[in-house]
Amino acid sequence: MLFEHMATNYRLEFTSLVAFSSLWELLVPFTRDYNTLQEALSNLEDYDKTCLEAALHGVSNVVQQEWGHACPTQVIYQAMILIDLDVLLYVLYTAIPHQAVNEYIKLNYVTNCVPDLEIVGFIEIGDISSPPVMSRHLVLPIAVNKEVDDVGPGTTEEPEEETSANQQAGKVPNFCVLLHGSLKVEGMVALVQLGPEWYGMLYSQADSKKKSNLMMSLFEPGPEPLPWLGKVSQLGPISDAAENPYGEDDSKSPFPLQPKIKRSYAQNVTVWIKASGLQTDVQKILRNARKLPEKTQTFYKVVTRESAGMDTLLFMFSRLKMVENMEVESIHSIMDVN
Amino acid sequence: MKMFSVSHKTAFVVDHCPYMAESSRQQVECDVLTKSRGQGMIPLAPVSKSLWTCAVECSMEYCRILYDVYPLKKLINYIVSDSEFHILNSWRQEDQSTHELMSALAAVGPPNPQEDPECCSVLHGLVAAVESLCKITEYQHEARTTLMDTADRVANRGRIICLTNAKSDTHVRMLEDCVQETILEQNKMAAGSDRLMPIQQCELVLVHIFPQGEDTLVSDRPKKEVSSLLTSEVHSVRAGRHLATKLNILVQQHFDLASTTITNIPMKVRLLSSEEQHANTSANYDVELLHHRDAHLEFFKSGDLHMAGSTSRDSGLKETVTLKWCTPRTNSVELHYCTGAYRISPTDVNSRPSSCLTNFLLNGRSVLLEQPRKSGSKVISHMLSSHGGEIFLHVLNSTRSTLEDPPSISEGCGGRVTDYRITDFGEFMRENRLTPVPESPDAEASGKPPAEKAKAQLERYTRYWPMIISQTTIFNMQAVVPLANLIVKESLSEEDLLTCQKTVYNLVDMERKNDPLPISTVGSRGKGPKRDEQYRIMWNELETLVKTHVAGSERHQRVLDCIIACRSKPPEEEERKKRGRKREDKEDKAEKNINKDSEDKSWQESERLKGAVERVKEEQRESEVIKDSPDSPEPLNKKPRLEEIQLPEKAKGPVSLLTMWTNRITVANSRKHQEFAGRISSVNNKAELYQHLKDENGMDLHENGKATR
Repeated sequence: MLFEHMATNYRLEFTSLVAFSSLWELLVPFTRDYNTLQEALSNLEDYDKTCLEAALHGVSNVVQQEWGHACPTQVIYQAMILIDLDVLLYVLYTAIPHQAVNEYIKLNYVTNCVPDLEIVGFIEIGDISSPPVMSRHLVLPIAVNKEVDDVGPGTTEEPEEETSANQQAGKVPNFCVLLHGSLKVEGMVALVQLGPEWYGMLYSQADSKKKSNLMMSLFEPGPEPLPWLGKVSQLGPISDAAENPYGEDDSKSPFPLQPKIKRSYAQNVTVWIKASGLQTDVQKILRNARKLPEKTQTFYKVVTRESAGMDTLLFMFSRLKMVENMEVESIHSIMDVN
Repeated sequence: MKMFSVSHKTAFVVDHCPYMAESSRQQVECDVLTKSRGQGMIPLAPVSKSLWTCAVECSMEYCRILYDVYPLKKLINYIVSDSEFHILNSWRQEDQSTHELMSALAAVGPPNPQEDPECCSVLHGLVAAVESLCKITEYQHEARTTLMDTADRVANRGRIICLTNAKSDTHVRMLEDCVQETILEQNKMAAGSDRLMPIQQCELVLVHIFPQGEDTLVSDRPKKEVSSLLTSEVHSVRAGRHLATKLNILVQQHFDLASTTITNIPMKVRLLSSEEQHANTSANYDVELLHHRDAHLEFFKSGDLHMAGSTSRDSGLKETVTLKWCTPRTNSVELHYCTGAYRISPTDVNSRPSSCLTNFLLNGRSVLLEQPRKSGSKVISHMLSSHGGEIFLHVLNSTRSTLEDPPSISEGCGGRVTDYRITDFGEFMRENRLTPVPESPDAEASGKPPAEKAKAQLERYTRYWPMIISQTTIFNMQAVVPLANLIVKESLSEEDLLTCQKTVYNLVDMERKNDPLPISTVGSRGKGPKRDEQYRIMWNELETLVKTHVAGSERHQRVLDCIIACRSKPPEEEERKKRGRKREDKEDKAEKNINKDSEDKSWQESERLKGAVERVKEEQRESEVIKDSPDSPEPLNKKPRLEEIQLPEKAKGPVSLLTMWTNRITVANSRKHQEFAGRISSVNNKAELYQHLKDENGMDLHENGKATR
C-alpha cells in the first residue's frame, strides 16, 4: 500500500527496506525500484520479537554508509514510517526524502515558486568558485497551463494521457529552461535571495550522460556567506560602476575580494623555529654576499628584504656571534671573489 | 545561548625577566649549508636561542596560525612582563597582525640580564592580562548595543597563556591564586563600568619553559577548577622544538583545529650540490596544514579516520589526516559540490614544500585531494583552492547523492521549445553581473543598498522580455537595439531621449522604404502577415515595451509620445489631445524635429475624417494579428475590467518575464502602502490618465487593455 503510494507520488525518492526483531537485516538497499521492495516485503517471515532500538541503530548505519553526513538536512528530515503488519513484526521504512520533501521544488517562475525567491544578479562560475553549500535542490519547471497542471508529473495512472499532457507542456515556453540554457552557455550562476540574509545560487549542472539540469544550492544563512564575494547586500549592478569592472572585453573581474591583511603564506614571514628556517635565511645572504661586488644591488635587495624579518628576530639572540661571523664571512667572500 | 566563547579573547603573558635571557641550550648549526666553501674560510659557529627567544618565537607562531585560520573575531592581547608590564597591542581588530606584534617585540628587545631580579616578575603581566580581559572588544560592544534587551547573552570569557620559567609547584600555585584574586577585584570594578565587563570564565594556561638538559622543577598538571571563574592547567616544557610542538598542539585545542597532511606533492628540486652544478629532479613531498576540524567531520562520523592515516594524539604523536595530491587538470572552471570551505595555515610556512604548494594555489590553481578508504577504494574528498589570496580547504561531497539520475530539463515543461532567446538572455545576464560596492559611511543616507539596486535593475530590464524568438519582432531587429537598451534605464538623459527618438524615426524610414521585418512565420500558413501588418505588429510591440517604462520619468513618457506620434496609423484622439496639450505646456525638444512636425500635421489633416472608422478597423486588425501569432494572448476583453488585477494573467499562455515581475511587484507594492487609485483600476500596472476625457468621448479602454504582454 505504502509502496504503491510512493511509487505514484515520489518516484524519485530512495527507499530501503529493513526488517527487524531482536536482530535487524537490510533486505533491500536504497533504491527507486518499488517492485523489488514489494517483492521483498511479500517474502518476509515472522521473527521473534520487536526490538526497535536495534533497528534504529541499524538504520543509522545503513544511512550513514550510503549517504554520508554531508548534509544535515538529511538527518533532520529522515522520515521513518512504522507500519504495524503483525504483532510480532514491524517493518521499518527509511525513505530519504530528497533532502527534504521540497527537494523537488516545483519552480514555476523563479519569481513566484518560493514566496521569497529573488534573483539578485549574475556571477561567473569562475568568480563564485565552488562555494560551500548547505544543501542542493533540483529545480523542476512545472506546467503553466491549468489543464496541463492537472495531470502534472507524478501521475502514472493513465500513462497515455500523461504523455500527451507532457508533450503539450513541453511546448510551452518556460523560464526555467531559458535560464538554464543561458546559464549553461555563459558559464554563470544566478545569485538568489531566499530571505533576509539568506542566499543561494541557481546553475546548470550536467551529468555524465549529457543530461543537464537547473539546480539550486543554498549557502549558510548570513550576510556574507562567501568571504571572496563580501557582503551580498553590497553587490550592485555593474552599470552603477564608473568603469566596467569586468573590462570592456571581459578580461578582468572584481572578484575575488582581497582581505586587508595578507595571510602568513602570502607574505614574507620570518619563522626560525626550525633550524632550517634560520639556516636558509643566513644562507641566502651569504650566497649573495659572495657575488659582491658585482651584484651589489641584488645583495642590498636581499639584505633589505631579509633584514625586515631579521631585525625583529636577531635582537632575541643572546649571542651576537652569528652576526659577527656573518660579517667576517661576507668580507672573506668578497676577498675570495677579488 | 551565550555569545563569545573563551577563544574570543586570548591574552599572552610572556616573561621578560632576566632569567629568561638564559640559553635554551638547543644549538642551531649555521654552517651546514656552507660546506662547499673554499678553503681558508672561518666556519660559522653554532648559535643557541635564549628562553625568551623561544617563548617569543613559539607564541608568534601560535598567533600566525590563529590569524591565518581566523582572520576576524579571535583576538589576541600580547603582554610582556618584567619590572612592570608592557601591553604591545589592543583588542582592536586592526591591531591583530603578526607584523604589528613583531615590530612591538623588536622595540621591547631581549631581557636585560643586569636588571634587578627582585623587582621583576611575571605577576605584573598576569594582573594586566586580567584587567585586559575585563575590557570589552568592539565585537562585544556591537553585540551588546544591537541586542539591547538580551544584552546579557553577551558573555565575557577569555584565556590567559602565560609563558614563564617558574621556580616550583608552589610558585605556580602562587601565580594561580594571584590571578584568582585579581579576577575578583577587577570584576567588582567592572560591574560599574560601561567599557568593562566582569569576567565570567577564565582559562589560565601556564607554560613553564626550562632549558634543555635540565630537570624540570614544575610538574605537568591537567586542567583543574580553581574557582567557578577560573580553571588552570600547567605544561612543563623544554625550550626549543618541544615548546614549538606544545604551542602548536595548544592552538589546535584552543581553536578546534585539525591537521591534514597532503602527500605526494610533486616538486621540482633544485639541488645545490655545489655552486656551479644545479640538478633538476622531481621528488614527492608532504605538507602539513592546519584548519578547522569540521573539514574532517565526514571522517569522524564514518569512522574512517584511522584508515585515513591518522595517529592518535594520546600516543604523543601528531594527529593528522593524510590526503593524496591529484595532479590538477588545466584550467577547468567547474562548480564542485562542496559542503564546506575552511581557511588553512601551513604548519611549516617557510619550508620549500609548503611555499611551493601555497604559491601554486595562490597563483589560481586548484588541487583535488584523494582520501584512502577502509575498503581500499579511493575517493576525491577535498579540494585546495585560493580565493583572493586566502587558501581554503574545500570539503567535497563524496557520498552517494539523493539527486542521482534526475530527468533532464529538456524532458520537462518547456523542454521542447527550440527557439528560446538563449543568446539574448546570456547577454542580459552579462549586463546584470554583480560587482562589490565599497561600503560608504553615509550609505544609510544614500538610499538603497547595492543589492536592492541590482534587483530593481533586473525588474526594469525584464518588464517586457519575450522568452522565445518567434514571440518577438523588435528584439530580432538591429534597428531597435539603441532604444531597447536605453528605455530600461532608471532615468534617461536628454541625449538618451534623442537616441530613442532617432531610433523611432529610423523605423519610420524603414517602413516608408518598405524594408522587410524579421516577423516569425511559425504557426502561420503561407507567407505570414503582409508587410504593413508586420509593421503594425512591430509598432504594437515597441509600444508595449516602452509603455512598461513610462512611469519611470517624463523622458520615458516622451519616448512613448514619439512612438505614438510617428507610427504609421493615426493614434487615437485622446492621445493626440494629450500630446497637443503637452506641447503647449512646454516647448518640447522633440518638436523641433521637422520630420516629426510634418508628420504630425499630416495626421491632423487626415485624422478627423478617418476617426471612428479607423478605430473599428484597428480593433479588427488587432484580433487578426493576434490570431496570426501562436503565442499571443487571447483577444482582449474590450470592457474595462477592474477585477482583472485579482486574476493576474497567469494561466494565459505566453509567459514573459514581464508577467512574472508585474505580479510580483503588485504583491510587493500592496504590502508597502495603500495603492494609488489609478493603479488599482489599471491593467498591467499602467494607469490610464485623463480617463474622464475618454468617458466624455464615450470610448472604451481598449488601448489600455491590449498591452498585456
